[in-house]
Amino acid sequence: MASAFELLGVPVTFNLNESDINAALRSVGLQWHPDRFACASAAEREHAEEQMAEFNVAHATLCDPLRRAIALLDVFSCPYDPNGVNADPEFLMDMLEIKEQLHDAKQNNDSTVLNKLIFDLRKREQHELAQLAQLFTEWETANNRSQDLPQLQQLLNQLHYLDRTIETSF
Amino acid sequence: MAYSDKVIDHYENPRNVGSLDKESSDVGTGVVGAPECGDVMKLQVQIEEGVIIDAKFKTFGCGSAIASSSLATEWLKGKTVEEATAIRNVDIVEELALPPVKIHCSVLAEDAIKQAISDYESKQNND
Repeated sequence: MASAFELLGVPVTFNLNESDINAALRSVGLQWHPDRFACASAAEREHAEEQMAEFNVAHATLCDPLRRAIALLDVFSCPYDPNGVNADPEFLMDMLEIKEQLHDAKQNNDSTVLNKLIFDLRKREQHELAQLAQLFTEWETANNRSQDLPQLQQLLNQLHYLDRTIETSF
Repeated sequence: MAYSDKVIDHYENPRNVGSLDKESSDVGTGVVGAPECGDVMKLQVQIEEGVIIDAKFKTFGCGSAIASSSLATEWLKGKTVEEATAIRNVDIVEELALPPVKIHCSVLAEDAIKQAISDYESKQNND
């Protein structure tokens, strides 16, 4: 199956900006939008709709940095296995403490503390995402990709924890 | 998906929630997690002459993850280190009647037990 990058015809790199991804969707959309097939046969219309659905999924994949990273690792035949990574115990302990603080803040209805915790988590996520982008830049052009793969997967793993923790903190 | 009565019981009345002194030489700590759901589980055992005299856990996650670790601490107390390492995730699945989509929660608990005991053992070897 074609990768999200191929489908939208964007460069196979982690470092894509959202406006390029949007422009790519618009350009394939011009060609395949169901409105253009209003007078076509039912089969052609259905095909166009299927194509558009695939493009939309590819767009959503590329717009989400974590999903984009996983799609990219797939392209390079280094599939990401979330359970294949042993998370750093110190990081997990840190997450546990943050989750406990979030839990307490919610119990006490303390929105000041809660907002501060979420703000810090987001800042940390942004910081780690920037690190991920940097790692990918080096990794994509490296001769020996398997060498830096564990580091990349480790960071991706941590970002998943951060992402899930932020999402469940409301 | 419906939780079994045993899962609900452990979820509503979790046994042995808390912490032991992580720095103490007779305490082993295991901390594990599942990145896809963001669950994190900490399980600690206090061991005296090869027998687990206390076990505590702290889990942030779904009902099954909480129940799995709660049940694990209940089982661990009074067991020898050898008996503890023999606990398998399938035992937890069976006891709690966990559905297939929640089996990974029992795997987390088994991993946490193993990690806690190996942490304790590495402390003993360093002394």
